Amino acid sequence: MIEIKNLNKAYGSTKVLSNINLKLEENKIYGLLGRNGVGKTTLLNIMSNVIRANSGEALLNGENIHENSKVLENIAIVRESGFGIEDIKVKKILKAAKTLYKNWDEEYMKFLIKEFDLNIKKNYSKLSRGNKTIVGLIIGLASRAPLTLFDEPSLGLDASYRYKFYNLLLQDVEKNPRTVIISTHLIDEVTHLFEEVIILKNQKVYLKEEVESLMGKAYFLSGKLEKIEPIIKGKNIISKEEFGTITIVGVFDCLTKEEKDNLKEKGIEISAIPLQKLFVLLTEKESVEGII
Amino acid sequence: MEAIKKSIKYQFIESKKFILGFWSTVIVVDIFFYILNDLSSVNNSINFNIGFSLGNTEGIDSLSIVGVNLMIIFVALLVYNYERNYESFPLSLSFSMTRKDYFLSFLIDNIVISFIFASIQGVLLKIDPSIVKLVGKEPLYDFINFNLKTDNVLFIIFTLFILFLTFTCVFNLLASLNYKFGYKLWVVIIGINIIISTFNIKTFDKILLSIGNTIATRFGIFEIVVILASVVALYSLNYFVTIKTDIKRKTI
Repeated sequence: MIEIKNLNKAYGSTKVLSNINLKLEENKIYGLLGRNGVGKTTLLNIMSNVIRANSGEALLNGENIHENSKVLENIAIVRESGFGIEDIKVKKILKAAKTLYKNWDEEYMKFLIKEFDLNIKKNYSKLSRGNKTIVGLIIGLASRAPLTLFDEPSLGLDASYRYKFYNLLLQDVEKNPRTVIISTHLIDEVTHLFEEVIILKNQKVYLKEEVESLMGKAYFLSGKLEKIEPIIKGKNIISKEEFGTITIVGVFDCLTKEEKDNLKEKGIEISAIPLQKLFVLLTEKESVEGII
Repeated sequence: MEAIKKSIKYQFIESKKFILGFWSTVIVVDIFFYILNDLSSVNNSINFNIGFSLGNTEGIDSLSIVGVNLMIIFVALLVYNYERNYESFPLSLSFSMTRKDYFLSFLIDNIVISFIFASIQGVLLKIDPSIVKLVGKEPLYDFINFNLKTDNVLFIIFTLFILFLTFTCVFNLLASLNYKFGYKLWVVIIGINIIISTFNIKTFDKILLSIGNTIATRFGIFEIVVILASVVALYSLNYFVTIKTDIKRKTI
């Protein structure tokens, strides 16, 4: 289990993470979401000892991650920014990963190189953005680390390679269970992968919830506002848009069966809010609060 | 323990390529210069020494081909330490090594590299006078730190090891500081240099002179203790720099 306690990080005078507390279970796929600059990459980098926190701690199975080789050999991070070096052959990067990762699967790496059609003789700096991402994905998958962190794993990838990665990840996690945290902006594409999502907002954990339960309380109601209003009074409203006489209201709250039946009887359409849209609404919520 | 072993293995894989590449090139170049010197001594009209050549007390120029390697080795050690700090450090951290394990494995690698370089160069230096004589030149024996005629190969290797380790440790620290602070390090160094030359600070000259005297001499117990204590102090400083360093977003 991963536990993050009272974690703080600032770059100079700019605070990025403030008093982060999290508990993550083993063998689950988590989505780490948040708007640009909210601290997703920083959090992943701290969880993998790439950068140091100002205070607080990150624990894996009760042991502090920071500078702990026994714990770190169970963690792999695929950073959106690469490996901190550009002028190096891809082959050399893979060789270093092979030497340094405890559970490295060489055969799987070879399979992935073929699957992604990667030329490992090339210099990393000469690769396209997509191929640089692929190098990271291959390392993340072949590392077979019990905790694997992917920071923006779809950056620069075309749709075909993105879906290939999602499928390979699902297949591999099924065969070799492990905890995976994926930070991404292409939320709709990966919703089916996530078991839980963590949303960072204003330097803090805004929300951590199972996808199923999250989606089970996020609805768009469309119909006449005067009919919707009495039923949703006191509910958490996250959006409201008017199209002529029709109003679409976003509700982020539990609706009982009776309330749903009542809405349907009044001709109000109920539809689920896609995760990406929900994320956008939640992270912009200040501007729509108190609209009803 | 497992992690440090992997880290050492990784460092050794990288070093193997460096050692093989460097010495195969240097030895080929040495052989080439022996041939050139041989040709120059056959044809009197172009008789000259190509290599590390010094005039001796009898006014005859003495020559060492392998002696030139020393300068090349110091440059190679500088490049090796810079390359490692800019390549192995971010890669090791990217692949879940701790800074401590990286530092220890690199320290061991530094010691091994210094020893291997000292051994190869020591043996080559010991052979050099015989080949120089064969090509018809007067060999150079006195290298300040040791004498090729009177000292045995183990003493020469030991002296070279101390020298190489000292330079490696300075270059390693310089490379670590450069990785952590970037151009700011050079601003500070240039700034200190300007202050010293502007205010003509004699103490600094004395320090430099005493460092020079300690290194450019035949090593006795005192010199060895002073040098090794300095090496330990510089590595300790380097350790504190390394554990406070994060991966840069992009380097070289």
